[in-house]
Parts: sequence; structure tokens; C-alpha cells
Amino acid sequence: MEPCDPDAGDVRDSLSGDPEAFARIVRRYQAEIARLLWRFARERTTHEELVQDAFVEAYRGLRSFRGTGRFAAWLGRIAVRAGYAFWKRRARDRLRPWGAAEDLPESEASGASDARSAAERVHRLLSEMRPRDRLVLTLQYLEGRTVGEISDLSGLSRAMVKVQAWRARARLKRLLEREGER
Amino acid sequence: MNGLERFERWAGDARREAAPAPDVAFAVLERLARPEAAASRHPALGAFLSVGSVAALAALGFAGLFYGIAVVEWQSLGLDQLIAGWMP
Repeated sequence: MEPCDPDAGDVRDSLSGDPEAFARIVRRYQAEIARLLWRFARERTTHEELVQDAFVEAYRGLRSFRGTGRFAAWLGRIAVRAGYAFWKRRARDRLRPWGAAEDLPESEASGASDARSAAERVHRLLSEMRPRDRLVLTLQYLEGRTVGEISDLSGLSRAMVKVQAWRARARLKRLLEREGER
Repeated sequence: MNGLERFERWAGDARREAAPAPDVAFAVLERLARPEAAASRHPALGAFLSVGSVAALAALGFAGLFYGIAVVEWQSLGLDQLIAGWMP
């Protein structure tokens, strides 16, 4: 971290037991983390809990942040892993991993309904897939991340990301063909 | 347009979707203030509590065992009768 980086001071103060310092971190990054985790949970209450989980995990792991990279990237990794763990829990409990349409946020922007219905379609399709396939495809298509970034966010090796993406796309293609036949 | 191309187009549209932005700062601090979170926040405290609870259980088990042996021995030697005889 840079010496003038506000994260550096807040991380140090949080570790010294100042709760307000961590609250500043939460306020600084909550919109970004919420946007990222909206790819993982589309029901408002669950989504909010997931955002909280990510920050609670971040606080618990604050000592492991070495300060060599960007704090936002470190936080993003924690959020993605929280989202992935959520999908795995949902898959294990055989619950629908996406929310109902009425839980989607309101937006006044033009084209918002197109974006929303496209997102609905994409999430419904991806929710049919295994969590690991879904993770790679979500980060690739919805987040527009590169192989290197997916590797960093997911903890998978670059080679594994490429293999996983190739397999996931093949499964998605079959799923889309089945959808088209219905 | 094949299925995958259609999916890519939907995904491109979906990227523009607005996400909710909840204010979670208060809820996060509240969760961190709970005792179980405090224990996990301070690994040494967590370890002390877990080691302490195991030690307390072990001590209780040993105390029960010694008490059981003492009573059985006490009775088998007839010392309880002897002491009962001395009592007014």
C-alpha cells in the first residue's frame, strides 16, 4: 500500500481494535462488493447477508493482508470466495441459488429492464450448472475478467481456469441446446 | 446466432444491470461485536477458550473417576462403617 493510502491507516487502526476504522473500510467498499455479489445472490436479503459475510470474513482475515497489493483486490477475493461458498451450500441443500424476479432492484435508467431481463435469463441458466462451472462463467461473462484475474479471484491455477472454462462452456452449450428444444 | 453467442449477448446486457447497494457497516460492526466473533478475531483468546474448556472437562472427568475409586475403596475396606460407628 502507498503511504497516503487511506486503506493502510484504516487496516492498521482496525487491527489495533478501532471499530470505526473498519466501518470506514466497509463504507468505502460496500457498493463495489455489493455489485460483485449481486452476481452470486439475487434475493435482496440473502444478498445483503452475503455482503456482510464478506466483510466479516475480511475482518477476521485482516492480519493476512500483507499490504503488498491493492486492498480492493484482496477484498474482492474474499467476496468471490464467500459467494462461491454460498453456491456450494445451496447446491448441497438443493435450493434454488437465485432469487425471485420481484426481489430485483428498481432502476430508472433507460434500458434497465432489458439489462434486468437479460440478467434474469443468464442467472437462471447458470443456476443450472455446477458451482465451479458457474464461478468461472460468471467471472468471465458477467464480470468480464481475464484468465489471470479469474485465477487470482478464485484461487484456481491459470491452467485450471482455462480447462474449467472450456468444460463449462461445453456444458453451457449443451444446456442452451436443450433450452432451445423446449 | 447460436446458443452460446446468444448467451454472450445476454451476458453483455446483464453487465449493465444495476445492483442494490445496501449500507451494511452497522450490521457488520454489530456482528463483529458478538462474543463468538471476538474469539475468532483474537486467535489467542479463541485458543485459550477452547484449551480452557477441554482442560475443564478433563479435570471434571478425572475428579469423577477419583471420587468413584475413593468411594469404592472406602466401602470395600469397611472404613465407612468404622467412621459411622464413631459418629454420635
